[in-house]
Amino acid sequence: MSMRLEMGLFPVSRIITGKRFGYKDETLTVDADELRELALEGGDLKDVRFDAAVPGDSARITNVLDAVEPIYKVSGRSCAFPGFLGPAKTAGEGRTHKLAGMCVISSTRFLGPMTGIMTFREGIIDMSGPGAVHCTNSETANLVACYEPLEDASNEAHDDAVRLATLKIASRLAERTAELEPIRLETFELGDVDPDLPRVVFVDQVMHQASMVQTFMYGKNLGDSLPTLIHPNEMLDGAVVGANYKTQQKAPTYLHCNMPLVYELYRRHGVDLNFAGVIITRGHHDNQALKERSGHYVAKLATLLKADGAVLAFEGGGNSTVDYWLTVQALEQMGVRAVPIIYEVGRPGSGEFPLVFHVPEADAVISKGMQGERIDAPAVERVIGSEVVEFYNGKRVNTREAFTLIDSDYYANEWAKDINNMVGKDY
Amino acid sequence: MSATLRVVHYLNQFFAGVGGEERSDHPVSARPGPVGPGVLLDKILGEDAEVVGTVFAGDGLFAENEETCAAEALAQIMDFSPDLVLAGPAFNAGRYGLACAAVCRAAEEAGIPVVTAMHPENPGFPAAGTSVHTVSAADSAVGMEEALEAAARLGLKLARGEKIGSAADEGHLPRGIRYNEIAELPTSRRAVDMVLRKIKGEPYQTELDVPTLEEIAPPEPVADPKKARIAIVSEGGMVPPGNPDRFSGSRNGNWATYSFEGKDALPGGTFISIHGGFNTVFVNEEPDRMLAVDAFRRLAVEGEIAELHDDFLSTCGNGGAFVEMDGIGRAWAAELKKTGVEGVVLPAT
Repeated sequence: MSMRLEMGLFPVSRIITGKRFGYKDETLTVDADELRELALEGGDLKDVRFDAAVPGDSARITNVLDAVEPIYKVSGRSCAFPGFLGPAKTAGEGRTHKLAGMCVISSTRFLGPMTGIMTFREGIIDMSGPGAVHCTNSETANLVACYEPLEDASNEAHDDAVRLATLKIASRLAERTAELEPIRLETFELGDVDPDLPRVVFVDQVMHQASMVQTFMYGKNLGDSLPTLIHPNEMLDGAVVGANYKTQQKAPTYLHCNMPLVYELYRRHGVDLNFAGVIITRGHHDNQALKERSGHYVAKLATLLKADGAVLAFEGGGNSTVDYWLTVQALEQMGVRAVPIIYEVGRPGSGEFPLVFHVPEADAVISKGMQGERIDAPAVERVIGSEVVEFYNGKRVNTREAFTLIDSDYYANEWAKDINNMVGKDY
Repeated sequence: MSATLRVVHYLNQFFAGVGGEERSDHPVSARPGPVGPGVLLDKILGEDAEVVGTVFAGDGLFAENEETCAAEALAQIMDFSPDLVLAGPAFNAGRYGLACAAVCRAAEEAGIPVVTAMHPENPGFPAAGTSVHTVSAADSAVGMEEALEAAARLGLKLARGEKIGSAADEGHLPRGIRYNEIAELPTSRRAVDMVLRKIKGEPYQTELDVPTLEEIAPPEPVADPKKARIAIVSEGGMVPPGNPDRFSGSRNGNWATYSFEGKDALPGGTFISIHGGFNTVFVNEEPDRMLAVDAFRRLAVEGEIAELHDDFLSTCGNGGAFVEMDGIGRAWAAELKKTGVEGVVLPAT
């Protein structure tokens, strides 16, 4: 079966919160009342209000959970974000419409007690200034949904409600383009190519640890999962949804749907390689035995795909680094040449050891740089979300004013480093 | 037009032309102008800079009296009012390399820009530390001109206070410190390029050459636990409520000693975990699930261990820097040795 996905693109560079839907000249007008009604229909949220910010604005978005690029299935077996918005049927074929270059951003606070890993880590997006390069979604036009929790909602229930509402809003916005002609049409299909081209798989290690630090696939978190094989088109249709709020490492859903390695492997499919598929694997298994089991499962799937090589991406911190390197080791031991992309834990200029774990087989590593740069964030005209936020170290800051923070306090910082082509270099 | 930069060249006695190994006890000495390879260096420096003096010493003397020789060399260097000190090239001569490293460190501490040159395997290269720039040299004097050219090029930039780029761009040996840059090609493209080179058996260059960690061999078991006093240490962020020593939940560098003297178990509220890397709910409800005081007290009653040490040493290891955690581990070992503890339990988080 050939999986062919047509992606109809409607680029968005300006957003107006208005009274009825409109799309013209890259300007999206949203019906805020309609979206509010949609978000609140389940009764699991107290309220929501909408605001917009575009690149270059003197605006700062706080309390950010997720960023979702609006997609809607015009035709095909599945819906967008299958498992959340409809049955978990296999996505990735038929036609999808996308409001491209924009995101629905969820911003909220949690009322329940938070401790340890299950603490929400403040995520900040600066739409301009020196911080913009250190967060994702400073480059997208953003419709920010600021949710108010029900007083008695547990953190987990509120998180579930926000996620569902955000996916619904995103899909509804794209649905409004169903009858319109896309500005651009892209086709994604892994057609037959010269069988002599090297076969390359993309291994995507996503994070699962606990609530507030998890990733969903077809509507279910990856807690008890084994590594699994999917078609890259499934990711483009929202099969993978992020819910990891360790802000420095998190991959927003927007990126799960737009993985740079997926596009790069597609671009070169039939040119100098054969894109053999995507293996989704979770990080942060609880013990060494499970980490080894997972790594060897990835390697086994890769060999079943007759892969010659694997490129790996990673979402996580210290513990899941072990899962990652054991996967690289297993791939190499099975004869699959592996190139992992990793961020470095040593702070810039510190001389600190760059990784918490390493295997000698990982002799071809792509660096996306190190965290720990101090950034002077300027005062802004507008804050969307709470003006006063509390950072992980307990520091409380009025974010309308100028303040200093560490790059890793910015939203999805490890992925900002990836998409902005940062690299660590020896000095 | 800016004034000509004043360069002082450091050499060993052999390259200064005062004899071989038999003169390796030669005292620290100075001569105006270039000597030996300094003549070539002076030519390479061109019109912008000149070798105003040469300081040299016997490698054997230097090796045995490094501190005093470095101080003496620095004093003689300063007499020439240098804008730059260039030491070597030391090639793969170990004692010469160590002397160059010591001279460079001393001059740099005195605020003089420095550069040296030696083979990457010369022990003087790691001894030069993370602030001194070392350019690569061949393992013998056949590489003299090339090494002097590289050292002169980088040295002049340092002397002029210009921004120094990465090791690859400037041609010096990586000093173990790294900075962020923006790469020319996208991250994903570099990754795919590299995997294709690896598959085809073509040469590839990793972007992160990971240093090898010291292998820690597990120690021998405690010979007779029944006679041993056992201590508990923890990197689980265990602190008294209120976190009096202000441990951070991540990238913490503090440690402290807390006591469970007089306690047979640790009910909720005695200690909490401020660790940011795991679900702390259960440990906060029952701190013994991290520290296991209840179990160790029982083992002591049953005679399986002699006694439980009443103090525990605590830090938070989440995201800890290796060098800081290494220091804490060593400090703990020293502390516990003083108290006669024979065995230590470190619960994993």
